[in-house]
Amino acid sequence: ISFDISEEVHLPTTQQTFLCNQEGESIVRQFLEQYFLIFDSENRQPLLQAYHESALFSMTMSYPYGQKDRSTSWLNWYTTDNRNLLRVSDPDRRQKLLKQGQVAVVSFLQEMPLTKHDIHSFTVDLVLFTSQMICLAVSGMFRELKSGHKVPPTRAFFRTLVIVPAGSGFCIANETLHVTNATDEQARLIFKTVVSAPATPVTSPIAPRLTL
Amino acid sequence: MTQIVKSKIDQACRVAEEFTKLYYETSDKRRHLMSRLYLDSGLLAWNGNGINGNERIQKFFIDLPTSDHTINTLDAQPILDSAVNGQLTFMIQVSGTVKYQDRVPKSFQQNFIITAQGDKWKIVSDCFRLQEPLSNNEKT
Repeated sequence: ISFDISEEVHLPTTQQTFLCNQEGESIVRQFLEQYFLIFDSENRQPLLQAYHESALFSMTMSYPYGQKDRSTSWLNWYTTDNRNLLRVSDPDRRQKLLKQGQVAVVSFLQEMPLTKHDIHSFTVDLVLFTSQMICLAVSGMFRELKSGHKVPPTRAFFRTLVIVPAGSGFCIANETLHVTNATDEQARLIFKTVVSAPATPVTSPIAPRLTL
Repeated sequence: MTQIVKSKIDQACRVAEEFTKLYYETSDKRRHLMSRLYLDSGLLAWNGNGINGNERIQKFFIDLPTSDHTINTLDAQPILDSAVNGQLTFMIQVSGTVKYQDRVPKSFQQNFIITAQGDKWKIVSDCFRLQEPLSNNEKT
């Protein structure tokens, strides 16, 4: 006979999507489809229209827990612009690593390795949805293409976007991007989702312009 | 870039350092105080589960297994004025590892929108995601 106090407490079940407002669903879905269609192409310049003229963008990187051995696909490309405030304490450097303005942001995006995102691996959290501002977080996986690795690396990402109305549509005002490696358990599942519904018709890359 | 924006960027970074230190210490060691960090109408999205209001968020934290967070990266920006009508508001992004009770540590990513309310910073929204395969929970 023992004492009944070391009971295991369960974690809540993971949900792939959270929407603070159901009205936001189609807007968010459309925005993400258009954004990643262009992001995964060889020319990311059309994304200029997706960013506010004073947009702010910054990136951080790290390796997932327990994964730093010889089989790791190194994240070297991402280290140069890693705006990790725990390591970068100089205010000037902190300023410099923050891309300011749509041209600076998209120039940086254009330099990033080519990618193919697995849209079925995405989690979406819409946490703010007002007439003035939308905040959403997207996580998921992408394959990194043509970046000199023997095997194309499978990365995981977490992006937070603050989106504001602009003209007849919307644009990104603030964005933070975190890049890491997919865990082995995650990587096994990339591009493995079988879609039973008819595939979305492929449209030519157009700028993410959203209408309410 | 104007001085105003520059000083706001500096401030966002400093506040993010202080805020995250307090947030993770509180969630690991003094959970009963968590609600004080949020606006009354604050929102927590924990692995896709939405919890509205600081009182319900408080209860949610009390019900979670004990945690031990380690932070690996921190990033922060001031949110553009056009989005928040000049109300001083920052966006903070964190990555790290968290160990629940006796489980194996896992990587997580998290973001916060915090805003100035009087002389206090309060969380408007808090979005947490463990880095894990999705299929664990899918029944296809």
